[in-house]
Formats: sequence, structure tokens, C-alpha cells
Amino acid sequence: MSAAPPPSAPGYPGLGEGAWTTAEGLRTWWTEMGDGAPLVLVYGGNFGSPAFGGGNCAMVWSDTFERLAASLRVITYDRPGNGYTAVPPRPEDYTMEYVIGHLVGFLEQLDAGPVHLLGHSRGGFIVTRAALLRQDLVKSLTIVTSGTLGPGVGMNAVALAGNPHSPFSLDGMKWLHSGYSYDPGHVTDEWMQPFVDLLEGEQYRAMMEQIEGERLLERFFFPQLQRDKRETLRWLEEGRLQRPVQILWGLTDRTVPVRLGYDLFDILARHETRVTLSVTDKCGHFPYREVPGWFDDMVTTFIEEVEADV
Amino acid sequence: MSDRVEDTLSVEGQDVRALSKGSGSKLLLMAHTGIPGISPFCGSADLFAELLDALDLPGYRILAPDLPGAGGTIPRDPRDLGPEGTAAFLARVVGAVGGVDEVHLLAHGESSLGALGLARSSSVPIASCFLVAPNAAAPIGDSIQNVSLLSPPVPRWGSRSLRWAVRRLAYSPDRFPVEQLKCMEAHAAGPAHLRAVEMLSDPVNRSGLLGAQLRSQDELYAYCRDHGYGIPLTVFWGAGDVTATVARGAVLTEILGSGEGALDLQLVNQCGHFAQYDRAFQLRRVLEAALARTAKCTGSANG
Repeated sequence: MSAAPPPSAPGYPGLGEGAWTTAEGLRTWWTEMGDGAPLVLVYGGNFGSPAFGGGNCAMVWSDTFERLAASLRVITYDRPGNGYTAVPPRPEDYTMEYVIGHLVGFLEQLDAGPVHLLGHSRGGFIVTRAALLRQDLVKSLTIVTSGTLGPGVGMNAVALAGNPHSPFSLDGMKWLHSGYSYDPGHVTDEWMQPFVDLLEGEQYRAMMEQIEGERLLERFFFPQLQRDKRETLRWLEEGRLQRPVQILWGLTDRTVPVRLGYDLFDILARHETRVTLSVTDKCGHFPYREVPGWFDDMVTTFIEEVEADV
Repeated sequence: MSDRVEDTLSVEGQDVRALSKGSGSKLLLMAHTGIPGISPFCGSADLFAELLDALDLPGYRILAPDLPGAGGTIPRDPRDLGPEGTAAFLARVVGAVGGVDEVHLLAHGESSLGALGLARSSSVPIASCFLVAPNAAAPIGDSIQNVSLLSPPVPRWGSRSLRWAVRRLAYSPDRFPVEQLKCMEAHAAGPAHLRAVEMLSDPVNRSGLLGAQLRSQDELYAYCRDHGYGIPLTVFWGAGDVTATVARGAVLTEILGSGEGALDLQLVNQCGHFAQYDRAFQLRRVLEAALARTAKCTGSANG
């Protein structure tokens, strides 16, 4: 993979210039910044409407990327059907399995040696399962407030019920992200507008039409996720994950209660030698935006420790 | 690299043995674990020796005194051994040091209750509090009594008995330095510890100590409910600490989270009561990062 991005690739504010690569046969947008141990950031959400976790993209890291790049080689990308990356080729590819395979393909293309993986929310499930499938590509895992991975009941459906705006609008996106947050002060127009622009783009509209018209989430995404989650938790219980893990959680996350973090810690700590659950108060679902100094410290000191192999 | 020194401070007429390092107007005051005369091990400032050596905190004076009844600090009153005595003692130490603009506390184990007491008193303005295995501050409720240290081998505080305690308390006893065990043996036979043992052999003093612990907990929980701490707090909790369950750590975190100050919990696996040995690197880096964040918030330069 070339480190010099072609000029034609678009970019997001705060993420530097973008580049194109091909992963799992899919044209994939990615970017990188900084030097040091490689850290790959994987955001949360899935396909479809923002009301059900869709419409996410690498823009979530806009305030985070440059800070972490001060001491690390930080890499991120758009997942299939999100942002600037192409949509999955077949209806049956609208699954987490496909998204995880795409991440594995991206890491292989990256050719950066074993990397540190960080996944937020549904991204926590993606990085964990990718690590379970290909531990040779992974040096450590950081899981940030992941109800998808956590064994227990997430509260998204309750905390985010009844959006009074269109979920595709700026107001709708702000309402949604504010509901995820302890203090919605970080949910600015500047942060949200690029998401809305992408949602209004031709690719996303066409994908939404296909997802809704062919009921792709109901037919493929959710059933497959159920099977994969069951299998993933069983693998974790069996001790198959053999890499250091850091779990980060907001104590006041209304969508993913901290008890899921404790339960996840309990499973992982039975087998892995190095597991930490770091919980911070007055923080909802976005620790990297709500308590950025704490988040940066947790990530960098953990990677420093893993790199030092102490 | 270390410029750690061992010294005897005069604190309002009381000789206090302490380890220290560095200089500056910011003070990191470390309070060790254990209740002399009750705990089956002999805590002292020496338990911070390696951490003190490793810490990189320009602009800080780091001071780890022997608490009354430990190491080389002879207790003057049985109340010195309880949480209220710990808080008062730490306040006196700060006063004796002088020239301090900012005080940060690191409290380990039983000293956490006294440290949190000092942090809410007006006698000494505390800038942050870092709690390692704060078992004494966590509520017990009607949970099952912890009996993991109930029956140490006799003679108590003999070398075999101390090893027994360390092996139960450390997740990785091999990481606990042999020199620390020798220190404990020496302190066990010293005048400070012998005086504490004598004081607490009196049932009245012993029940007085329990009463002080319950009173301090009551004050802590009421304060958290009605006011909340305004300073940054960090809880570093070993999931393998036999003195307190993870559930108690989680409850303590919820309680402490009521204030305006930042709060975080670090729950660490394969870590027992002595995090400074079981998780030396992680404890040091998390502490350094927490102090740096506090400095950033308060606008003071961290070195």
C-alpha cells in the first residue's frame, strides 16, 4: 500500500489527506498520520439508517486522529458502504462477517506487521472478531464502549427512541449523538455536517434504497450478527483471544451500561494475561470526544506498555 | 536513575521516617497500606521504594512517610492508627514540609479512607487523589466477611507469617522483592510496630479503631451523596486483590462519581493488593498521566 495518497481521494476534516486502496476487492478509502507503533481505528455503527446505527464513517475520529498521531502511526478507513468506501457487492454481503473480512483484507494490504486495533461500539466487536480470526495481524486490542461485544442488554433502543427529526438531517444526527453523550457540547454542526453530506450523497441513497427494498438488514445483517456474537463470546470464554486487551467505558453511558464492561472484563480476564477495564465518569458513548485527555492517556500508555512487553 | 533519600522528619515534635525524592512546590504524598498491629504484614514507606525510583515527575517532591505504627514512626495515641488519625497525620506532614503549592495524594489500601478524609477537609487543599486498592473506603454492606487473612501462622509478624501474608496478597509473589520482606521483618521487631501491637492488644482501643473506620466511611458516603469531590480521583483496583472484590470496587467508583471532579477506575487483571509489584509499569504510567492531566486542568506546568 502506498503511503503517498493520490490527489483524487477525498478527505475529512482533521484526518489529513485520504487515499484509495483495495481490500476484499472493494475500493476502500483510508488515511494515516504520524509515526510510531501502528494503531488502526475502527468506528461503530452498521449499514442503513442512522436511526439503527447506520451512516457512520471515519469522520468520527476528526478530533482524535491528530492527537493520537503525536506518538503513534494512526490509521483509519471507511468500512464497506460507509463514507467514501464502495458498497458491498452482493446483498448477502450486508453482514458483519463481510465487514470483518474487509478489515482483515485491509490489514493485509496495509502490511504494517501486527497492529494495535481500537474499535468503538460495534467497531469493538469488529476488531475483536478480526483478532480472533487472525491473531497474527494483531498486537493488542482496545475496545471502547461496545454493547455489540458486551454480554448483556444494550440500551440504545431505549435511550435513543423517538427521534423527533429525520435521522438523515443535521438536527436528527445531532439529536442522536447528543443522546449518546453525557454532555452533548461536543456534538457540533461542524462535526456532524460531513456525515449529513454523505448521507445525502448518491451512493448512500442508492444503498438505502436497496437495503430497505430488499430487507437486507432483516434478512442478512441481524441474523448473521446474532450467530457471530454467540460464537465470538464462546471463543472468548474458551480463552482463544490471546492478545493484551484494554476496555474503555463511560460510566454514564446511557446506551451501553458499564455493567456490560465489567462482564466483558470478567470473561477476558479469565484467560488473557493483560486485561484492563478503564472507566471514566461523566462520559457517555464517546470517550474520545467527551474526555479526550483521558482517552489519549489510556490508549497511549497501554500501547506503550504492550510495545515495552513488560 | 533515582535520588531517593531516607530521612527523619520532625513533625510537630514527632519523628517521622520517610522516603523522598525530587524537589519542587508540588508535593506527591504517598500513604502506604496496612494497619499496624492488625494487618498480618508490615506496611511502610518502603513499599513505595521501587515506584518512587521509577517515577518521572519533574517539579514534584515525592514523599512517602511511615504512617504511625509503621517503619520508624512511633504512634503517640491509638487513634493515630485509624483513618481519622491517618488524615490528621498526613495534614501535619504537609504542614511540616512547607513551601508547598499543591498537594497530590496517593493512598494505598487502608490509608485510602484517611486520605479521602483529608481530601474533603479544609485543613489542607488537596489537588488530586490516586487510590490504589482502596479496600477500606469501599462499602461492605452485608456482604460476606473477607476471611482471606484471618489465620496467619504464629508467631504473628514472624518471617514465616509475613511471607504467608505477602503470598496471599500479591498476585505474583515472585515479583514481590525479597528485600521488602526483609524490611517487613525488621519493621515488625521495631519500636513503632511493637507500640502499635501493644496499643491494639487492648480491646477498647481495638473497638475504638473499628468505630473510627465506620465513622469515616459514614462521613465519606454522606459527603459523596450531599456534595461530591471536586478534585480528580483515580481508583486503581487489582481484580486479584483478596482484600476486596471487584464488586466493591465498582460500588466505590459509583459512589465517588457523584462530584464535579474527574473520576476514573482502572480495573486490572492478574493484579493483587500490591499493584506496585504486580503491575509496576502500568501503575506508574497511569499515575504520571493522571498527574499530568490534573496539571493541564489547573493550568500548572508539569515539569
